Amino acid sequence: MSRVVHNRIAIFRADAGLSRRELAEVVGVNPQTIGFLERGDYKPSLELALAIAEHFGVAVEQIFSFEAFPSLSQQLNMRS
Amino acid sequence: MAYQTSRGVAWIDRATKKLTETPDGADRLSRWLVFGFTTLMLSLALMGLVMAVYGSDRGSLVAFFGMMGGLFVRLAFQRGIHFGGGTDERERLLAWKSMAVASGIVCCLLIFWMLANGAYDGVQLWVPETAKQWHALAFASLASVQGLASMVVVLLQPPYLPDADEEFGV
Repeated sequence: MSRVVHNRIAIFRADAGLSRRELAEVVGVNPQTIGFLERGDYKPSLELALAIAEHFGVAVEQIFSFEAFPSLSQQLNMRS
Repeated sequence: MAYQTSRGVAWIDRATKKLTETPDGADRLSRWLVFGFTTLMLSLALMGLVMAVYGSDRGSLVAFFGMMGGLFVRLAFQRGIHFGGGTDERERLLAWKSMAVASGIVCCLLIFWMLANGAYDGVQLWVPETAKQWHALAFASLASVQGLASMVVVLLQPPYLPDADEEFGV
């Protein structure tokens, strides 16, 4: 069984003002791997997922999910 | 362990970037340099095997140098595969996957060779007879595994684009 793992690393990264290279250095991976994760071409290990969540100071399910995350515009429309 | 690029890869990146003056060109050139040298070393090892088949005593030595040359290229210049550096989990996965594909191909060929030798009475395939011929066969087999693995990695790794990660969306 292979399920799609959605993530919003790019949003958290942009919010923190980090480049892929900087995030990669923090979590100890190749900058290419961050690109792979953001595009959904690679599923991270639990260790890497936790390291990314730890860096942004949120729970891992806030960044990775089996369900697609709503877009920013959808979230803003829901609030207003 | 923090991630760090291998010195060999960093050197080849710098040299090819200086030569081609574009990150895209540098990536392509370094990739094909690794591919080219790997092919050369693999050919050397196979040439050693052929020499051994035709009775040359130096065949096993040539195959040995081909194998060691391929190993050196793989460890020093293959992106994502090197000792002492921090390859990350995706690169390790790619490295093991390439080894699995390459060793599978070589094992299938060896099994075919053994079956063909055993099944067809009277059909004379080559069989090693001296110690040096066995050595040459072993070195050529190992060289084939690592050479094919290096080629698979070169083909599967995405473009690197060292200084343009953000712009090019790598």
